[in-house]
Amino acid sequence: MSAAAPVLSVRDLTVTIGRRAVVDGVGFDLAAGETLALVGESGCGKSLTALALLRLLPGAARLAGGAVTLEGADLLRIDEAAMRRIRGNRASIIFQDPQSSLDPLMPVGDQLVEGIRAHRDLPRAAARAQALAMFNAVGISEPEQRLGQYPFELSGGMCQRVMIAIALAARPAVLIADEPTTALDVTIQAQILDLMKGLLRDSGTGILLITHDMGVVAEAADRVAVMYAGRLVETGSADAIFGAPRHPYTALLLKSVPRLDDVPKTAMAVIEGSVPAHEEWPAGCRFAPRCPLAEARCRAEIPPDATIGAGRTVACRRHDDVAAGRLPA
Amino acid sequence: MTPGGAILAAVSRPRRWLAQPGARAVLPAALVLAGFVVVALAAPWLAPLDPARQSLLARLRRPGSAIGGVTYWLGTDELGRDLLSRIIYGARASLTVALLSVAASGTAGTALGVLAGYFRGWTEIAIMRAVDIMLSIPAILLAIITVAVLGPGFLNLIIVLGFTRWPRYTRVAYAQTLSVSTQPFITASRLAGARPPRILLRHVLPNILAPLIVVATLEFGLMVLFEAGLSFLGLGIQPPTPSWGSIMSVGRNYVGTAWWIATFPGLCLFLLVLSVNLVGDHLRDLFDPRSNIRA
Amino acid sequence: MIRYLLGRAAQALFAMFGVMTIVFVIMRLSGDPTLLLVPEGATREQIDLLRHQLGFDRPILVQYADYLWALGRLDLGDSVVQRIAVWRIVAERNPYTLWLASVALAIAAVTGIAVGIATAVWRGTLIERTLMPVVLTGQSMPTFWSGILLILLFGVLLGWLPTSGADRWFSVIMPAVALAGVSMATFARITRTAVIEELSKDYVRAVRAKGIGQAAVVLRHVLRNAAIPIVTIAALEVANLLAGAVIVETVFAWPGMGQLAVQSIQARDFLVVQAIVLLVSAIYVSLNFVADVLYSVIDPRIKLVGGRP
Repeated sequence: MSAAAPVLSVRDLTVTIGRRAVVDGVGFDLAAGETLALVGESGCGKSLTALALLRLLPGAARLAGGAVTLEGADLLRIDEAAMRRIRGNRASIIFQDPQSSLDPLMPVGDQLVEGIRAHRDLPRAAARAQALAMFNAVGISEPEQRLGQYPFELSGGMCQRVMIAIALAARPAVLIADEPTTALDVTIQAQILDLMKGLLRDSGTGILLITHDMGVVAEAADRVAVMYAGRLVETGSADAIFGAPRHPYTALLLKSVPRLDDVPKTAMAVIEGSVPAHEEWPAGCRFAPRCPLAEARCRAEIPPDATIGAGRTVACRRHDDVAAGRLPA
Repeated sequence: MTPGGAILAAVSRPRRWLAQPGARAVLPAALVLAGFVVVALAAPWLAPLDPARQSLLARLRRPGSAIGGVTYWLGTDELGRDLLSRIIYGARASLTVALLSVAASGTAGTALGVLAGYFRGWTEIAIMRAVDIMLSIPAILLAIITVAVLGPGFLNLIIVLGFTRWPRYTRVAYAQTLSVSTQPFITASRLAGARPPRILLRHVLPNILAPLIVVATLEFGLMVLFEAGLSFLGLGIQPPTPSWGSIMSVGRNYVGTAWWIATFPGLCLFLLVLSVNLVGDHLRDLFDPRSNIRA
Repeated sequence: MIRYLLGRAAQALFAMFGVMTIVFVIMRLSGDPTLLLVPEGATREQIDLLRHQLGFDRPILVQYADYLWALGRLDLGDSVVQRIAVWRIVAERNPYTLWLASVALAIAAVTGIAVGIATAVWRGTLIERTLMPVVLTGQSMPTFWSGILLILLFGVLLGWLPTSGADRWFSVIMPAVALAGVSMATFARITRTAVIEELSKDYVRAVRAKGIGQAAVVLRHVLRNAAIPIVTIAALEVANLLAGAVIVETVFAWPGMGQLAVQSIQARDFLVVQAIVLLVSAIYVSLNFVADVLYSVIDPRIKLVGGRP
């Protein structure tokens, strides 16, 4: 892990839908060459966070505040033309369903070339050569042939490799990966994750990995940020989070992942209740309704972020109890 | 939700229905449409003058002229007849022909579509092929040649229009019946011993009505235009019975000297078709907001 | 791909065959087709003679076979009224209608698609709110009324354009605009729906994430994907245009097939009417086939998979 200035710095990011803040004051840093996993269940706002960073929010969602600093520029304040120069160039994003993320009527090679020529003034032949090189780099078999093929002719895993090629063509400082392996077979998942890490090991690109899958986190992340109902509840290194979680939600989440050495025929651990819709968010800590350690003061006010170590924060008043193992199983 | 369910939902929650965008435009449109219906029904009481009464003195008079104590609000035609009265009676012709032809083609077309969709096999093949063929001839040409052979006139006009438009309903009824037939409640009813006529009438038909109503509404507007067009060509309603189309045909010849003869019936046609289209569009958005392609 | 196109061609031929059959049936709806073709005031003997000459006294299936055979040879018969070959009469008028319909299609497609894209891309803005009522108006205008209004404005009041006939090159403008009215509205609506649908898809978001600007997104990606419903409609609209030509040609005294059809009915020259109906239907069916060919060009999935997915 690098101790230099972060490539991406997010402070107090807020996204609203209607009057509700569905992403509420989220902040984190991403260092060069680091993989930060943003973890949470469906509906916690992690995808919207990712889209907000590049100002690609859909429909009714609106950026309501915060600052996103990339290489010295605040992405939320620059104009649209400047933003376009950054997208696909200094910061890229890949999405969950690779096949539907590609134009079905355009050969995949052309789509990569389009991305290349959007940010560099290259003649078509040179761009095509670079596209071929990228296809090779991302491990696409028979790359010459693939350049002229259409997305429907490629498998899901192959499409995701194309997306990665497109995303990395301009050697961005940040790659945002929104559930990149969720739509893929388990065997392919590992390959894609390894590919991403391998490609970026030397380039210093930071990866913001959005996922709900703790297995993926364990596999690929250096640091972890846990999100619940629009807010970050805990951040820290992967070792710290997995080894000694300090927020009740994180701890229960980890307990609920089935393990090979679990005693057979015992009930699986679940977290009671379900994630509340944003209309139902309580005034205080949003996890309180489901938290076995919740007290009156938890329900009254949102707990502040407590820094408990270098790069380690937790938003819970009873995090010491969690550390001491007083969380009921 | 089946289309039948959608109707039920709309009717039981009128407030929400009104709050949808476009509802604001529909209200006046529906009122205009109702207005035309009222005018058509009440023609004998609403028309200020006898539409057939000719007057050599009052030929080709401007709108608002007063001759011999009688005011011709919209002017007179080439035989001195009051244009306003003729237009009012013309509404009768347009609306009646449109309504009857929609009824005829709608019933026949829906029946064929349901049969094709429910029984499948040869029935389906024969009917849908016939639909394809009928849709390969531009409708107005089909109408023209049929009218040419059968002769013009009110009844023949309805037959012709009914004959040319049934495929529109069949296509929609067929597609809808196909999707409804696969639903569990149809299978259940068949297993319970219900015979096909009962299944078709009690279960299939109510659930496919909604899109068919949309088609019928838009077809109604089209039939008004068709009747006017055929009458304009001299192939529809024959003089002296007033029809907006035949009045406009005369008006075309006098466009330089008596612009009102062609303009006012056309305006009525436009307003009628516009309100029908608005109502029909709203119905379509109501029942299936995603379908914007015509059958 | 070849298999797909052959299948469509077979369907087109079948449709044409069906059309010929329907026309055959219609012509005999009144019982004795000879009565349609005789001039007024013919005597009983003359009618019988004509019936025998035209072969209408033979068994119906024989007549049907003969009819199909003649059409296969492109023999449309001789006009009883004008005493020359029907195809000659029609061929003289054909180019006028095709020209009118083509100009109208171009106007309708260009303006309609442009309006459709504009209202989709700038949804919710003043542009959309202004253009949509215009589209709705175009859709509801009866062609003969808009034709007459155009004549009133540009012909009578302003005197810029001729009110009838096809004498000057600019004579085609008013009839084409009148004819294009409803089609323009249809193109606009279909384009708008298709573009809105595409804009909400994932790949558009991904293209934007590459840093591509809105114009390129729409022109390079969205339009091609939205093209399929637009092409379908274009083929259907040609049918409407050819049909609408009948009315417009009458309004503007344009010497095309539509006007010929109406005149022929009045002159009781039914073989000409039959020929026009068959010819226009053939054009329509062919255009539908062309649309099918275009799909496979636009959407490579059809070419390689052999059918719409």
